[in-house]
Amino acid sequence: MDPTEDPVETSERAPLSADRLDGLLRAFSAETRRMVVTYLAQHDSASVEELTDVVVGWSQVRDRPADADESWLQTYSDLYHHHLPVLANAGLIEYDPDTETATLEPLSDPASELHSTITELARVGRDEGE
Amino acid sequence: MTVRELLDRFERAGLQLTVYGPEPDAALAERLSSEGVDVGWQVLPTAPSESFVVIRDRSGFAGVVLLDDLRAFLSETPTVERELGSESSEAAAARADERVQRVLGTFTNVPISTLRRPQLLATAHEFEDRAYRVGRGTLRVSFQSLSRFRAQFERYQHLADDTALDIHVYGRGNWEPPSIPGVSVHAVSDDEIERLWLLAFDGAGDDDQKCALVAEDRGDDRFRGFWTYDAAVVDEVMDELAAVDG
Repeated sequence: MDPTEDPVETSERAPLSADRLDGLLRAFSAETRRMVVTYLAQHDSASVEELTDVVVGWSQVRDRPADADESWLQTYSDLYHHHLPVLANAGLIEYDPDTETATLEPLSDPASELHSTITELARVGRDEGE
Repeated sequence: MTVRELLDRFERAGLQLTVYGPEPDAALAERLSSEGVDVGWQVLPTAPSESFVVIRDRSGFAGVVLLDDLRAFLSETPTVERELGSESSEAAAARADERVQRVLGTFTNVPISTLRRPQLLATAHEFEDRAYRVGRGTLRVSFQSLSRFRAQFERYQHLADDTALDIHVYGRGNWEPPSIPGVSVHAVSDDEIERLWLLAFDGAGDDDQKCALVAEDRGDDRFRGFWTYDAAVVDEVMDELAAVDG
């Protein structure tokens, strides 16, 4: 395998490269993807269906969108086709679209810190916005 | 189609609740699992007030509700009584009301085998309030026995006085209510009706306003039932009640 295609390998052995940082920032730039990582950090592995329940439920109690039924299918599709591949490309999860399972990769310290920091900043921003 | 068949049709096995939050709610799990509803818990580092419950039934995702809202809805303390249609109800009543509405919205068309009177009363009040706001159309209510209607009598007097609603009340004839213009009372001697708590509002013909509550007393003051905004199902409940002699 070409090592440049596997950012996990480089991040755990070398200082965070600019490319790697960009990849992580992009992965954590969507609340949905941060929720997935937060959940997997507790559970290790989950089905796309379960992750959809978590994202829809959590989003609903934060923002109260109008129709959870409609957003469930949309969220499922977004996770399946977009968010989970983005997380997999960033080396944060292993994602198997056939079995519809996502499993957390061991997070490097910078990845873990970045996730905590961004999640916390988002939480503070939300609380102040209320 | 009888109401019983309607109930059977709605009764789908495998209603499953999953609590997502920092800690499990043992009381809720015990309360519901003792009555056949499966309650699971998955840890999620939310604020406790953000804990939520995902409801699944045989056909999959059925909705999500705040754990606090569900707890309040299931609590044995009666919901705050509020005046019909009152805009100036106290803040506490309004909050309780919102909670009821959110739970009702989530559990629409979901059959529940463990309902008790406070939940059914909260649901009935919500639908009566809807009828009040629309102000016309037909509202049919079966209270099991007319003595149960007695506790709701003033409320229905108010409902009839303030609106052009055509109200029909059904129940075993163990109490004779004073007559109210706009309210027809039907004393029935039908065992099935006596076990059922039904409420249906035809929305004055507007499908978007139709709503119905269907619950069957399983004895021991526990009910299985559901509520719905599905116009076709509401029509069936309306027809069923309209066909009752009395």
